[in-house]
Amino acid sequence: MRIPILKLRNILLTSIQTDLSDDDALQFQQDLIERTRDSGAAGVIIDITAFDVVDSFMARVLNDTANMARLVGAESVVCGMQPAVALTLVEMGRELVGVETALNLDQAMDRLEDLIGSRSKR
Amino acid sequence: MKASRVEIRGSTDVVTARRDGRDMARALGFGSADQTRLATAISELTRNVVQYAGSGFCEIENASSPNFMEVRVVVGDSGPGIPDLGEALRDGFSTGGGLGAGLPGTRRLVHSFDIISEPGNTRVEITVRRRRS
Amino acid sequence: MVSGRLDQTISELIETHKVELAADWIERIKAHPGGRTMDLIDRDTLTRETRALLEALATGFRSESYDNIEHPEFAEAVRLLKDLSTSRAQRGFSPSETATSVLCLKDSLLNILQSEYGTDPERLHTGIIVMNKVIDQLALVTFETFTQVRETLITSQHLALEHSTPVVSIWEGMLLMPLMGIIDTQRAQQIIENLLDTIVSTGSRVAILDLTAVPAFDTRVAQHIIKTVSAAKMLGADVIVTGISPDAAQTLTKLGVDLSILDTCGGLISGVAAGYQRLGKEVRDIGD
Repeated sequence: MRIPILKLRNILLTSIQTDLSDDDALQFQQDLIERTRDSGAAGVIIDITAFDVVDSFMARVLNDTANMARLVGAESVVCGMQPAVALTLVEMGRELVGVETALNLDQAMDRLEDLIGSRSKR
Repeated sequence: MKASRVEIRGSTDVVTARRDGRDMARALGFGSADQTRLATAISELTRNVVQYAGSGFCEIENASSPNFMEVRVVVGDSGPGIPDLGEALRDGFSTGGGLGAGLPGTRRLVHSFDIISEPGNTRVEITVRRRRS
Repeated sequence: MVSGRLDQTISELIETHKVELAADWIERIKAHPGGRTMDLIDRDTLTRETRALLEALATGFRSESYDNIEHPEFAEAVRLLKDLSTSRAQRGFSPSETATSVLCLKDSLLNILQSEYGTDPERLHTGIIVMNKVIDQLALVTFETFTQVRETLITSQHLALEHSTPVVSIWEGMLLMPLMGIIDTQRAQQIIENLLDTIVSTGSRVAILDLTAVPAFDTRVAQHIIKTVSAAKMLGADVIVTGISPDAAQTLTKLGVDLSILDTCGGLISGVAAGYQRLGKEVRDIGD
C-alpha cells in the first residue's frame, strides 16, 4: 500500500491517512526518500494528523526519514501530531528529537520556508 | 464488548491488535489519552512478538469492576525469550532496539505490568485502569 | 510525682513565667535555621497564640495526668494545638517547621525547669521526665492533625484544580499558563493535556509556563516541566519557562537536574517579551 506523495513547487507533501504497519512505514520511508532525491525537492512535509498511535518504531522511522531527507538535500517538517500521541511519547521517553515539528500544514509551510531560507544562506 | 484474541503473525496483525485495544478502551469509557496509551503499549508488545518470536497472540478483555474501568491485555509467544530480563526492565535500557527493548517505556504507560520470559514462553500482562468518576 | 513543698508545681511555674516563656519560645523559633514561621506570622499574633497555649498548658499540668493528656484539664491545650496545627498546614508550613514549634516549646519549658528546680536534682529529674511525657503526647496530637489536614488539603486541591489549570491566550499565538500548587504525576498529566489541547484549539506557537506559584520544586517536578516542554515542542510550540526562584534554581542545580534544555526567563515580563520576539513582534511606544 503506497502513500500518495504530492509535489507543490519545490516541496513534497505527504499526508498519511491510514494506520501504517511497520512494513508499510518502511516502504513509505523508502518511497519518500527516493522521490525527494529524484525530484530535487528542497523541502518535505510529513503530515501525521491521522496517526492515533506513534510507537517507538514509528518515532524512529520519522526521525530517520527526516535525517535521510537532509542527506538528499531537503529540509523536513513533521506536522499534525495529536495531543494524546505527544503525551504518550513523552511518557514513554520516546519524544521526537532533532525533527522539526509544526502544529499544522500552514505552520509547517512557514517553518519550511525558514529552514530552506537559512539553508541556502550557508 | 467481547474479549478479543488476535493471532500475531505479521505487522498487519500488530495494527489489528492495537485497534481492538483502542476500541475496547473507548467502549469502556476511557478518554483519548488512555486509549492512546493502551494502543501504543499493545503496539510495542506485539511488535516484539513479530520481531523476536515470529508468532504469538494478543488477548484483550474487559476487567472492569464497580469502582474501576479496566482493560487487561495479555501478549504471549513461544519464542526464544528475553535473555536478561532484569536488564531489559531497567529504566534507561531502551537503546539498540534489541530483544526486550522498549519495555520500560511501555511500563510507564500502563497501570500494571507483569512479565515472565523463558525460552519457549514469554507472557506479558498489562492493565490500563481508571477510577470511575 | 511532682508535688509542692514550697517550690511551685510545674503548673504554677508555667503560669508565673508565662510572659518570659512566650518570649523565649519565640526567640528559639526565630533562631531555628530555615524556619519561615517569623515570615509567615506576625509577632503579635504569635505572642498571643503562645501565651494562650501556655495558660492552657498550666491548666493541664494541674491535673498531674502526665501519662494521659486525654484528661479534661488538658482539653484546652489539645484544642489550641490542633487549631495551630491546622492553620500551619493550611498556610503551607512544612512538617518540620511545625515540629520545630513544638520542640522549641519543649526547650523553653525545660529551660525554666532547670533554672527553678536546679538546686534539687531529684525534683529536676522528675520534672524533666514529666515534661517530656506531656510534650511528647502533645507533639503526637500536633503531627497527626497536621498530617490529616494536609492530606485533606491535597485531595481537595486536586479536585479543585483538576479542571482548572488555566491556560490563557495573552496574544494571538501566545499562551500563558501559570502553574500553581503541588504538582504530582496525576496533575502533571492533566497540565500537559490541557496545554496541548489549547495549543491545538488556538493554533498557538508560543506558551509561557510560569512557575512562580509552585511551592515545592524538586527533581520530579522538574521532570514534569521538561516533559511538558517536550510535548508542546512536538506540536510546534516553543515553551518559555518563567518564575523559577533563585532558591529553586540552586536546589535543582545541586540535585544535578539539567535545565539547560529549557528556555527560561527570570520574570514574567521578560518571558512575555521573549514570546513576542518568537512571534516576530515587538512592543513600542505609540508615536515612535
